Amino acid sequence: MSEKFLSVKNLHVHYVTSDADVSAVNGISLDLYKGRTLGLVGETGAGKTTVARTILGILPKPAGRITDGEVIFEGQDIYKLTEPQMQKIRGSKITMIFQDPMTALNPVMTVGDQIAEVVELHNGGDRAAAKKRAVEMLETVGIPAERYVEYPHQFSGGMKQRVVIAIALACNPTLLLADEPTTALDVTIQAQVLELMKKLNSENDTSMILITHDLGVVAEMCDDVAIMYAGQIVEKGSLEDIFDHPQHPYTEGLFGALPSMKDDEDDRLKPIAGMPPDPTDLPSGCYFHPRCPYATEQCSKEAPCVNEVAPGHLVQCHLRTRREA
Amino acid sequence: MAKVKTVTIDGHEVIRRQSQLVAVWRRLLMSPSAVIGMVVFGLLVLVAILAPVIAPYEYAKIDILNANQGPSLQHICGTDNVGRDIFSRLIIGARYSLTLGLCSTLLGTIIGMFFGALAGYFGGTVDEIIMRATDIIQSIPGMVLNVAMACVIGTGFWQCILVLSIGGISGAARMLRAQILSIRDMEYIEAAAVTNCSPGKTILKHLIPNAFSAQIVGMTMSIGGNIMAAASLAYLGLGVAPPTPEWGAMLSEGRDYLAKYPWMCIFPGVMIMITVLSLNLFGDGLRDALDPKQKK
Amino acid sequence: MGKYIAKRLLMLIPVILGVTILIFTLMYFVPGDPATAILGSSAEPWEYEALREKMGLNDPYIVQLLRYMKQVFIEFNLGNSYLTGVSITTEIMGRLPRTLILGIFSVLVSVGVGIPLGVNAAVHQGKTGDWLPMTIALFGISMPGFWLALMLVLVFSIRLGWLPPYGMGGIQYWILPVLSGSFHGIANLARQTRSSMLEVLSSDYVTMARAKGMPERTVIYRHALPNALIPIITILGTTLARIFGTGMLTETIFSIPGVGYYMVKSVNNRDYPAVQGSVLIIAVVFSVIMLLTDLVMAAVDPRIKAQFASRGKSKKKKEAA
Repeated sequence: MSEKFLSVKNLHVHYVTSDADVSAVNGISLDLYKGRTLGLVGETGAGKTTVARTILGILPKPAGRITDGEVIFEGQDIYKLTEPQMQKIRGSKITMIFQDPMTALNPVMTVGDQIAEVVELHNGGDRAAAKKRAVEMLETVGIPAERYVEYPHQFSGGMKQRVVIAIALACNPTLLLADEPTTALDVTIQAQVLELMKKLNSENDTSMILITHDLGVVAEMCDDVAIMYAGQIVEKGSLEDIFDHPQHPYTEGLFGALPSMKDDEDDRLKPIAGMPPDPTDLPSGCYFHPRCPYATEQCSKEAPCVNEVAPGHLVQCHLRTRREA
Repeated sequence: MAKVKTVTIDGHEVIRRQSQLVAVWRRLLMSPSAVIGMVVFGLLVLVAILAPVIAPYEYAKIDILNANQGPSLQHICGTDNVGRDIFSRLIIGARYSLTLGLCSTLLGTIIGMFFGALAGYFGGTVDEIIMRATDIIQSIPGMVLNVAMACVIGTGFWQCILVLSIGGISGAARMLRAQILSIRDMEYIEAAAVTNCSPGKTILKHLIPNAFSAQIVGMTMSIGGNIMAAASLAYLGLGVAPPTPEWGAMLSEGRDYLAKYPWMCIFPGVMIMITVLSLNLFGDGLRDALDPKQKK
Repeated sequence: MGKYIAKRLLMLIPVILGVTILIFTLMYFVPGDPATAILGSSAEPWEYEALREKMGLNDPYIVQLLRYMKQVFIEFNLGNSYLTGVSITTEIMGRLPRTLILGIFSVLVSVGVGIPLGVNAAVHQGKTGDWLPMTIALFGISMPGFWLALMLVLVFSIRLGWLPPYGMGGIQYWILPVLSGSFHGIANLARQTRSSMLEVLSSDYVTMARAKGMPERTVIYRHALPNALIPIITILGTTLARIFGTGMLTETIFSIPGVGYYMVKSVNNRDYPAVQGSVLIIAVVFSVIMLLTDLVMAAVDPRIKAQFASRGKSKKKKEAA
């Protein structure tokens, strides 16, 4: 396996506002290896986007607070960096693709300028070179160069997402954070955009964290998978580990909630019962126990610890602990 | 987010609407500035209602011997050029100013909503005519329109209400029309049409209640605006005329004594400011409470 | 863009015709007899009748209206004052520059002070730079402008003696009028800019700009502010209306012989043609300024600019199809 260059350790993030204290991320650890793609999977509100924003250091200003943990990027703890040092990394080494291309582009700026801007910022202020690079990037993502001077409202959703991808890849980042890059797009466009991302990443040897709730996208794109629930990673492993040998009841539940084309046994969907927990008031013990079909009394009292069921395949569940014993 | 109460389908509408009102009320109470605004305005209304009981002096009683006295324990806001107690006059004046603000806003909004509903519901030529008419009216700045209308309708208390209400018509009409257009194509309106609901009934039962929240916020704000406009008209001699103790009229009386007896001008203005301020605070809070999405 | 401006100018015509008809009609139905207003109450009955005939007041409404419109739009003549007999066009044109100076400077001060205050408040949300100016602004939108003018005169002219309380002259005569004329505008724009800016600051494209590694200043001034200004330009219309409306009171208080002061005097003197002419001129000036703000808006927001372009294009496409 190649070198480990991003490492998140025991990360805790809270959003504190006047009315509430939201525990968005509750002790996440993950490692990312050079050139690989990690899928971060979970329901809406599981804290996936918060993880990405924390790595990039762009949590919403007054409310978002990192209460514990560290993020090591290329050997540096990025929270020990000053804001100007962090700004050098943001947009060049670590970049992000946002969920909704409709709102991610500045409506009063031409798309070309929005690409050139980030290049100029990180290449030492050479405007002409930045423009050239922007044109190049537009063509790379399949947009004709003459659309440089057009505004975001003149583009379709899929085209906008291509522009966002061009911005994210313009400076040849080593780490790309893709936050549900295709959720807002039509199904047919989704495949094109994913294909494009895959191609560009392998050309530049870019590592990626792909945030999604779509297991199909994960199967298509990822090498490793981490399943998130209520701000924790409940299971992680390689793509095969998770897809062929899911261990956590929540992971099983996610697969059960997928429609299957094979009509063996019964062809009903098995949705996970109940609702995701309220992050201002998390349940005791294992956060998943109110919805877990196998929950015991222990689950409601003690938080489970992490078990390695196979090399690199980690699960956070009492069920596995008992099975081991 | 407030927790959603489960409501059985059989117990529908009433329970839901009530709980919505309750939710708005709760959110309103969460905002300290809205509560201050509400309490202050409530007190002002109470003062206006109980004015003759509260006023320490007969508001119109002339007492030349005690004219032009500065604020003191006997006359906390001083006396005017003919010795009337300014504090008592301010209290009685609350009746005039508040009534002016409330009635003119209500009248203007009702007329405006009528035209807005016509324009929004029927569309086409009706809409075109009404909208061009509001264009024309809105091309005259509000105060200029008020003065021109005062010239036509005349001066006095009821005339002033009428003058000010005209200024509010086009704004209310446009607001309601915009809201109707935005919700007209929603499914429940179609459902009403399918079930053979008459146009008038649809407007009354479905559109207006849905468009109401923004109108209420708008009204809260324009009561304050109209109180200020009424004072401005009175100051120009085109509204309520002295010796009626309307606050603007009191300011207009006090203007000549600004240098020597400034309290004749200071206190009526402070009263206007307190009133308008309380309405603005309340209006801001109400807007946030009615539309929690916009709240930061 | 040129086409758009031409189109907007054309759209101005029906509005101004409408204002003319509206105001003429209103004044037509005002109780009272112009002949009495001109001759006073001591003339012989035949004199009144002769004057009415001469002024065409015995003609039907529609004839009088058309005559007035012809006089205004073809001869550019607003008629003569009942009171002084002087041409109203001359009177108003002589006064217009002062009203414009007062209005334009009040607008400039409102924008120049209000918008930066609002931006600063949004950026420093919750800190002193936010709540202090915003509290003052809340008082600012709650006090009548003419009362503020009186209080300014009381403090700066009567008590401190720094500035003249009324009249015309050098720059010192304009300070208090502009200050009282713009205070509401400053307060209102600061409040609106703050809330618009807060909304924009939490938008995705601003987060995206931060994700690009831009310094916060660049994020605010290049990405957030231009977008926050779009709704502000719309609000500018109301601010302008208010400044031009309250300008009448400001002119009255500071004895500035402008159009507003003239109009108030004419109303008090029942000089209806003068009132009619004043309203008409104010409406024209106001409409032109509103048109200018619309053009600024189109220049700032490419989506609006595109609307006209595409409207023209799609029409052509339909014709071709």
